[in-house]
Amino acid sequence: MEHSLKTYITAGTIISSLGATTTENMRHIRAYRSGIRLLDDPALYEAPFMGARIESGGWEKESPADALSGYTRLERLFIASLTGAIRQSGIDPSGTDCLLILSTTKGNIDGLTTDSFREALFLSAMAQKIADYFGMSHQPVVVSTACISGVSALIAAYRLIMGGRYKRVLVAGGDLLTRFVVTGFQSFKSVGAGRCRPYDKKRDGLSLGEACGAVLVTSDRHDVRDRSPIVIEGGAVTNDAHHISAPSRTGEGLYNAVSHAMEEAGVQPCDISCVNAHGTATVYNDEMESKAMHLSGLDAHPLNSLKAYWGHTLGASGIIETIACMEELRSGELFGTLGFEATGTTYPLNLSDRHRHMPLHRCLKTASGFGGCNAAIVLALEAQAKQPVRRPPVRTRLVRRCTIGQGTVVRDGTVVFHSAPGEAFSSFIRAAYAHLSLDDRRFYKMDDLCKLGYITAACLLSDVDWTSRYKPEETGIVLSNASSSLYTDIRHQQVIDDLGDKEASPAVFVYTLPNVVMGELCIRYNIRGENTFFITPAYDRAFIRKYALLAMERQKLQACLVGWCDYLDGHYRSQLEWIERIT
Amino acid sequence: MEQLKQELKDALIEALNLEDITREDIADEAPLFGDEGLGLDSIDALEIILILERHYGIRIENPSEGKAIFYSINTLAGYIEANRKR
Repeated sequence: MEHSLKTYITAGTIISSLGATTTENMRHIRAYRSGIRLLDDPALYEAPFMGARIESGGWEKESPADALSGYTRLERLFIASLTGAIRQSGIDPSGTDCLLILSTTKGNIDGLTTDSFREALFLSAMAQKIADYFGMSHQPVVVSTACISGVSALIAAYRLIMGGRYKRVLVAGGDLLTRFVVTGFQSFKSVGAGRCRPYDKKRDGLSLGEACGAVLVTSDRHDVRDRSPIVIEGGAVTNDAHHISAPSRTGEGLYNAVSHAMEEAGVQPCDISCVNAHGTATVYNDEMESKAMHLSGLDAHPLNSLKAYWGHTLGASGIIETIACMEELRSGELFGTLGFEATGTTYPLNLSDRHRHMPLHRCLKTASGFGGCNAAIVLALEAQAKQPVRRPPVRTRLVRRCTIGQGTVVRDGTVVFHSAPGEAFSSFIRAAYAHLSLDDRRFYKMDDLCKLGYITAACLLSDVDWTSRYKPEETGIVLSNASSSLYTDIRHQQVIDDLGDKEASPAVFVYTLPNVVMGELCIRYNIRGENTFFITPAYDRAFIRKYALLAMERQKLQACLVGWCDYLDGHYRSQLEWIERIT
Repeated sequence: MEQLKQELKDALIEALNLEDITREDIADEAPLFGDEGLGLDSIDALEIILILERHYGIRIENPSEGKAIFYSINTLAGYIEANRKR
């Protein structure tokens, strides 16, 4: 039988401040209830702030009793939400055609202490524990690309299925409300005084939240028990190449993600019924989105942000908000943007604080995040969905490889630079910077992970000329590592432990996301396309290259920086390759 | 005032990791932000807000208020002189 080309998304399970099931969450949203409230808890922040927390109670019933011991709170949330998705779809998670992808920014960061690296802090160890719980056959993959992680993980699942690698991918996204995250966002002055008010004139910042959600992405229609099945038609990830934390001033990066996703889906703006945007309610994010929607020809389309219901739930947001989109498509009801009163963006968007009943066939979901990344995915009711197009397989050639480890920089098999044996990373990397005659003020501001990536890329790309052949949005980066940003995470924790919550340093906190190294490289080399960061226990070169190939197959991507960049406590290893599509 | 300016330059170099820059490289009247001057950005502005709170007891809640204040070492020092609590 011909392998179905359609990729379904189903069995969405949400655990959040609004309840332990999707039904409960939707009931509260329909009643305009928010999970955000004033939290006065010194364990989270020294002053009261607005946030959304998962209350204990309901959700624990969703996970079997044997899951309760030996697992962290976040792991139990992942297990509970995945249990829901597996039960709803009736699939066997142990099948050899099934993969688990987790989306998270900070994982078990609530267990961070500054004196030791506990196993649970490594995102891939956490993911493996969860995969083992369900007896899964394959090593799981973690996507950690800041606030786009959830949408990015769904796109990864879609691509791996379209590429024929797997039949089913369980995707779960989760992040906790922790002192680590709250102090960091407070240091950025991003947290609003009241409940967040996306796109509103009086908006003054985001509200943080915690949540966990899971879905099944599958090519097998038998897994889909919904009366109106929903398919993924396309998805794209891009980078602004503008700044590592500030949103783009033009909205061009998000516009690129939206237009690439629509192009893959084979649809025009007039085919899109509604948009569920990121809408964090920071002044600059929402403004950037209004510009991007205007550029995309979508500013008059019915649009909403769900952040005022759940808060910004980071690695969970892309998953749970997509589940809400699925509910909206099925019910023909676009949820209101709670708290919105008056237009507060340059380009007015089609918003309402009330729920709106309307025919909904196709929804665009977007997200944007630190590191300058943007993601967009197109979902449609199967009945109205376009017939997917099979893409010819892509071939690539390796243009150049650069490896750094143990004080040595090697390019295409030749030692370019090496330092004295046993030299500390900090002096080695400075010496390499001097050796390459680089002059970039940004270098000294970077954390060690970024410095490692920066020097590797500088050596790799020093004499590769691609700018005359490819547009910036045709170039991208797919990177991976084992330690995420753990070493800088500890520095942030040290600051707040030693000096206090309000002393958190934004210049440190911004580097507590591994994908910021991609952001730095995108700024340096004006790379504006594909941006995905995977966490795996060891470098899986075949997987990373295959993923870049899938992105080339589905997207405009022509050339890509792929590889591994890992730094932890003085131990470092990087390997970057520049690959180009053969046409 | 002169001492305050030198003190500020040292604090900026330290807090903003301006490793290849010395006191002498920072002219009192030169813009701190943008490509013309030191090339500082929005994260640096947040770090300067922390310096003002920590060393001088000055609170700036909204980073956009900082724009004129943080223009140069001269404007920054002038604002601190007028508003310092310690």
